[in-house]
Amino acid sequence: MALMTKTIEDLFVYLAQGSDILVIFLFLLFIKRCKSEKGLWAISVYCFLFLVINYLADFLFVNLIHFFYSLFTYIEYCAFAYFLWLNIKSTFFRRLIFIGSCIFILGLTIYYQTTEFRSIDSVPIGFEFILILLFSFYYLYEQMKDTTNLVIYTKYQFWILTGIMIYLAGSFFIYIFANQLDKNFLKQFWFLTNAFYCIKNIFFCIAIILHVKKQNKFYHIKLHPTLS
Amino acid sequence: MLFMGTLGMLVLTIGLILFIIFHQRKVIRYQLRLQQMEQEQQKILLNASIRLQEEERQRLAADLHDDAGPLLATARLYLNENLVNQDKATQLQSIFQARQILDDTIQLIRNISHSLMPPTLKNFGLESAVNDLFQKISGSGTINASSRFHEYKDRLKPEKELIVFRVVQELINNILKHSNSSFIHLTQNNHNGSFLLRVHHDGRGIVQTDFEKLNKSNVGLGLKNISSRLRVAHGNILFEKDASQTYYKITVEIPRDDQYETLTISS
Repeated sequence: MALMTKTIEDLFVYLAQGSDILVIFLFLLFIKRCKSEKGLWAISVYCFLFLVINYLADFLFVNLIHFFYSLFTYIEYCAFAYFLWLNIKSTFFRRLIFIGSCIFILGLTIYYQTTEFRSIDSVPIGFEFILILLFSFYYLYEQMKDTTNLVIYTKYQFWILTGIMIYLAGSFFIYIFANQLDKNFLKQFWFLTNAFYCIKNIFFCIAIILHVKKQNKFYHIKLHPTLS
Repeated sequence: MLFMGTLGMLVLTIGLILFIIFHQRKVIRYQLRLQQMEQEQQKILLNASIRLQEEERQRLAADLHDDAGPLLATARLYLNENLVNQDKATQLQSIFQARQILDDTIQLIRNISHSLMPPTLKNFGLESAVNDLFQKISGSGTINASSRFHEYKDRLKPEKELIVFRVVQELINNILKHSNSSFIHLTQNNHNGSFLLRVHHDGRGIVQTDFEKLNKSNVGLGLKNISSRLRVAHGNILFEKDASQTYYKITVEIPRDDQYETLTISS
């Protein structure tokens, strides 16, 4: 039974890493169509860094795992906040994101300097998730108000945001309680974070494919205006 | 608790995303419906203006065919080849008759031309043309009609003047035809950079909801004509009952500024 559980856990870890590779692969495959989109760059770089950090933490520098965990929180927050900052139209809210991010990063640095690391950095992750979820809600609210838009799910940003939100919402409580709960009990649920991570990456892939399809249509119209 | 928390967060997030998708779809559907309604309205207005143009052509054709045609044919009869063989007195009488008929025809054609484009409007402007129209109506003795322009030192552009004049003509025509009123009073003012015209009458009238209803239906050709003309001038019209509930009031508002410089009108 224990072996079975371990296999399932490992399967999700591999799936999470594999989904990262898939995002990077798709981005590189369609780089011509994607290179102008800063949002797609942000998520691809984020996936790449996650992969590298995981590799470094698991195989090369196992004793520096805490450092890599904190580094990952920085990168994740910056990638998601940057993506939302790019796509939110309100100047006031963009400023708010910028100021909020500066404060958060400063707080994060102070936290890592002053607090002893336990199994995971629950408090910064909690703050990070809340901030990103708040920014995401605002983005959706802005899209809802904007009646000039096409249907929201025709934009690739929507799929990225849905992936981010599902991942954050699904992993939120697990990360928050990671330090408080019994390790064996937590292990039963830990695979969920990897599952949500996979789901997020699947949404990222959908976003890339959607963007490429749209671009293809655009190029087709540009090349053959009469066939539009 | 951990499981419930995670499940709760997921349900909330997915619920929110679904709510936004459905809400947006609803808004888009509503906008499409509005657009469709507007297109239908424009189609009705276009049909009305085509019908009106056809009616005007038919009237013009009838006037020329039924009035000018017989008059000219009669004049031709007086001036036939046999005239040279007749005595001088008969010749003179025939020429006199023919001249009389030609004068009548000239007057008839002048009237037709004036109904198409009033010369007073062209030469002296909207104020004179409207005053002239109201004097003619009042002169008939059946209704008391008066007009007063308070702030019309700066004239509107000729094309806008023509639009306003046609609207006034149509309104007066409707009042005379349907309202059974004993007086019509027109006043002109300016308000917030807009040209304002108010027409009062004491007969049977319509209010804004009736106007909008008639505008959307297949009847009320004149009202649709008013709507399409005002749309060209980016103007508004408001039909209402006076505060005292005794009179009907029609307010026409047209922006004075030159932001609609590229106005093209076919009257």
